[in-house]
Amino acid sequence: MVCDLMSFIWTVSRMNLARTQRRPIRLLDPECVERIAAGEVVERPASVVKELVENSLDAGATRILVRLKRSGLEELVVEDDGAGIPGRELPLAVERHATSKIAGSGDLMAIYSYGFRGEALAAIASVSRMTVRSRSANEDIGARIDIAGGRIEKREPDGRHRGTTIVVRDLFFNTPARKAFLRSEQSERRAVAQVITSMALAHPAVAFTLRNDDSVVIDLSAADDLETRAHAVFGAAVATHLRRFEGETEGLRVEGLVSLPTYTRGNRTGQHFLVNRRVIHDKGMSGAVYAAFRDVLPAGRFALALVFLEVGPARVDVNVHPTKAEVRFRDEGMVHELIRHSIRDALTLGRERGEVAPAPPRRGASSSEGQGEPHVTEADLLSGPTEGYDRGPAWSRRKESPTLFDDGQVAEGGTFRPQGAPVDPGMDPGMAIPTAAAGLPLFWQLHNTFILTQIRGALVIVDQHNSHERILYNEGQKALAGQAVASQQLLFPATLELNAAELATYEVHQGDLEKMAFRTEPFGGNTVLVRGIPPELRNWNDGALLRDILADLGDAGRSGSDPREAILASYACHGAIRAGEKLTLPEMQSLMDRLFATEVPYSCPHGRPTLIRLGLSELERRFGRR
Amino acid sequence: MKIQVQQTDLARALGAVANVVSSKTTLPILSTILFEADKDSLTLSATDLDVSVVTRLSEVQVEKKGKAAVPAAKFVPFVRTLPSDPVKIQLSGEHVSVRSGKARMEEPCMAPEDFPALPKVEDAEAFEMPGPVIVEMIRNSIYAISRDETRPALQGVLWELTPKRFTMVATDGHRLARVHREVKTGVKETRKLIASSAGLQQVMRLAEAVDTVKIYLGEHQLSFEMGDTTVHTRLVEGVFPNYEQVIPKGNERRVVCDRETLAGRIRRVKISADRVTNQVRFGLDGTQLTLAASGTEGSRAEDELEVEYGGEPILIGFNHNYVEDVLKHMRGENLVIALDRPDSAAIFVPGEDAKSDVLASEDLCLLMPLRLND
Ligand SMILES: Nc1ncnc2c1ncn2[C@@H]1O[C@H](COP(=O)(O)OP(=O)(O)OP(=O)(O)O)[C@@H](O)[C@H]1O
Ligand SMILES: [Mg+2]
Repeated sequence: MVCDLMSFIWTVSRMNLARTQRRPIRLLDPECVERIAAGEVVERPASVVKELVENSLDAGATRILVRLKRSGLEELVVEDDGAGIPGRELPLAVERHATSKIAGSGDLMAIYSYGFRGEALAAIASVSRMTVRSRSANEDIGARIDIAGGRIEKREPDGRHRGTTIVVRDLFFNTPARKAFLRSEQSERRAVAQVITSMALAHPAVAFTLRNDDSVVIDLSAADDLETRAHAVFGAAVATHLRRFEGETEGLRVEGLVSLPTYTRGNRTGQHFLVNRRVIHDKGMSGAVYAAFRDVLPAGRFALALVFLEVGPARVDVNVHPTKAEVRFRDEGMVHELIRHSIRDALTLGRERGEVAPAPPRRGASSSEGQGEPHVTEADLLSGPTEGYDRGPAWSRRKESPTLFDDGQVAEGGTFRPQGAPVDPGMDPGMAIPTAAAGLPLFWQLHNTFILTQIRGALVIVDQHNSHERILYNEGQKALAGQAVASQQLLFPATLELNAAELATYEVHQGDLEKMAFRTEPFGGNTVLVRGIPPELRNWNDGALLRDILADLGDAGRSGSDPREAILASYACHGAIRAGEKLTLPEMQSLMDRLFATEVPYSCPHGRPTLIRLGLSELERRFGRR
Repeated sequence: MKIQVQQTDLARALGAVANVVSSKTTLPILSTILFEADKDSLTLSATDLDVSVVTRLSEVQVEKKGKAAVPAAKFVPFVRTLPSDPVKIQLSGEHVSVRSGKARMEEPCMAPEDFPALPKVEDAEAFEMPGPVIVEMIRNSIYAISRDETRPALQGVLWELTPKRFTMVATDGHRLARVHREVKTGVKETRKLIASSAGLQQVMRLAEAVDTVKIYLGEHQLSFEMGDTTVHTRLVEGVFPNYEQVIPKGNERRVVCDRETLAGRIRRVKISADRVTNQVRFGLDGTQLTLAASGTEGSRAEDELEVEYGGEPILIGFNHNYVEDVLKHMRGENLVIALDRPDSAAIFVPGEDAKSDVLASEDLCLLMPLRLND
């Protein structure tokens, strides 16, 4: 609540700044200038674009057009429909330390606008040939100035509509040393596109267009919300993998979108971090995203992440870096934890979360309806069996979209029910084999390795080993955390002869093994007696499994990795159903149920995927139906 | 080969052998049924190399002797649909044809020489017993076999034969079923062997309607002669664990309860049970047996039943699937459960007398509990 109010105030102040209470541009006093982080503002075309687009946003623009010639190296134009600059203030706008956005150093403590230094236009003007054309709302005619290398060369009236156009030509024409640092056209263009993408995600309501030479690189019309914009930015195919997250603690609020482990990239280009809508690079924030995905993604893979952090302006210092690309938080640890937790929660599919109580299942409602609505069926697996416990992506929450429960994929007791499975109220959810009306099983084991099933709008292929590994890992995790687990007592207790190293490892970890339902006791000499094991453990193999775990634990101990992590990984890996094992229908049912009861069902602890979803739209595309 | 046989006889004979014919096999010859027409009889054989079934039809007119390996997939269903009239089967060249009235089918055959040599009944110790009795013995033990492929011995059923007693034991390490019957086995000294469950499954299927089954205890195989049909099955190699040692002698806490009632209560309570452990807790206090289950999602269920119990209160957990298996395979209205501790084996036997000698029971099942960490 506090935070909503805060962001409301922030938005309103920015609007006020632009529209009603615009202050005239004034020179800042030297004392205030002293306190502003000084340094290079302009490094490359992308930083020019960033400054100019920020100005447009500060001016309340609803349409921003960026045109590049040769990636901005030759010419770069930013055009907006914002408040404009009164003609008489134009010369001042390109002066150093002249700004309309703050009045004095007191305002530095709480900055609501992007700009505050009065530095950007001057800095750009000093290293290029610049033209500013602008007309403010209450003027009949606009004005124009031309500047080269910082010197005003021409000043004349201009017939422009309301808004501002800034043309920057021959960047660094007078500073060859800096020009030498520019990269290839392609990489400069990519950098500009990245800046605009971030800004566009931060301002869904603003239309953005980026053209380079004769091609349109980005073209985004005004959108109602982040999801719609993210759709437009990443494409519908990626959008199906995105999940919304949000969270808040005192004075901090985070929201955004992350991709599930089903969509990753080999680098961080899909990660955008904004603090109070300001594009920034913060190691702490990207570290928090990394931490949220740590046991979910394989090394070298990165999820998409749009992270919007809103912090009361007094709790963050944006005045630490000349390009404002870095910020300093009053409480960095809190920011990290908030981001990590919120993302983790969104990946998590559990009832525990329940701020919003799950709606009671409405059954039999609509397996037919919705089949032909791509924007709904795209909501994929995630709005499939799992969403019942969760709010789901916002686009699946929209009122006109049927929610998960409409297709009856989650029955009472959280039993995973493939689409089409009849739900007989008298049926025992644990034991029943789902059958289609035609009497055909709805799980199908492929080469004794994969399980196929259908959900609304998609075919799902599950890897039996990877998923069982994920299940055992998470169940083991809970057990280690102290959740009571039953231990299946053995009729024939196993005696294990251990070597000295194994015995030493055993003695250290006996307690943790016990928590995970391995009931063991030293039996004299090097022998250990096993009386009980985790129920339904596969491949117990008369104790060989425990010996494998001890061996892995020994290795982990020598390499200094976290022993609990090692126990879990080893237990999950050795205990899981193997590829090639035949499963019965109830076993497949139980596997699916348990998989979707885990926190992060999409990948095994090593980051390999547990399931692949093939959307109907994808199939239709491949069969040339679309 | 040219023969004529009644459709009903042929269909029955095919039914006996077709069950071991496999449709998915890397050896195509195993998807056939071997027909051998001899003077005045027709012999049908099928095998999957582990289990073989051979059946002989004597009500048959053989016009011309001969052999053919007939693919079963279409032949068998075709014959089943024919009216109960005489059926003519003829081999011409590589094709076999079936004819009944105007109905006719032709199938390409495989070379009979390629059909694997079938085991013969070994000249071995043999004894007879009623079909329904051996079927019951198999049924009441085989459910407890292990599915662990690394332990073939536990995937089979242990046979223990003494001159007057026949015992079958199966276990998966969590539970154990022991069935014995007084049978004159004719063995001179105690014999132990492990029968393959696939073979026993065929016997269960075929022996039900048979008065007498003759069992040959070969060196490497078992043969079951059931009228005109014989099943051969290989013995399983390996060591069966010493099961007697794990049957507890001192379980003095005895519960007597109604089998159907208990089964009904479990069916109800298990709805809430944890999907991983399938645990249902049995709480005994006085004459009250409380069943309770709780799942990880916070679901809980409970029910009670009146039982006969004189011991100290005790709380013990079981995998409900195991208990249900036991209840399904016990005879009689009542059963006696003999308990000791929450982490030691429980004994289930049919009967109504709490003081009876449970260890001597003809049908006995041991269940290891699921113990909750505390
Ligand atoms: N697109 C625009 N529309 C309206 N006013 C603008 C625009 N661009 C610049 N201005 C005016 O020119 C002034 C100077 O802009 P400049 O970017 O140099 O400084 P700033 O935005 O105040 O601070 P900073 O250096 O931190 O960006 C702004 O304060 C604003 O009043
Ligand atoms: Mg600015």
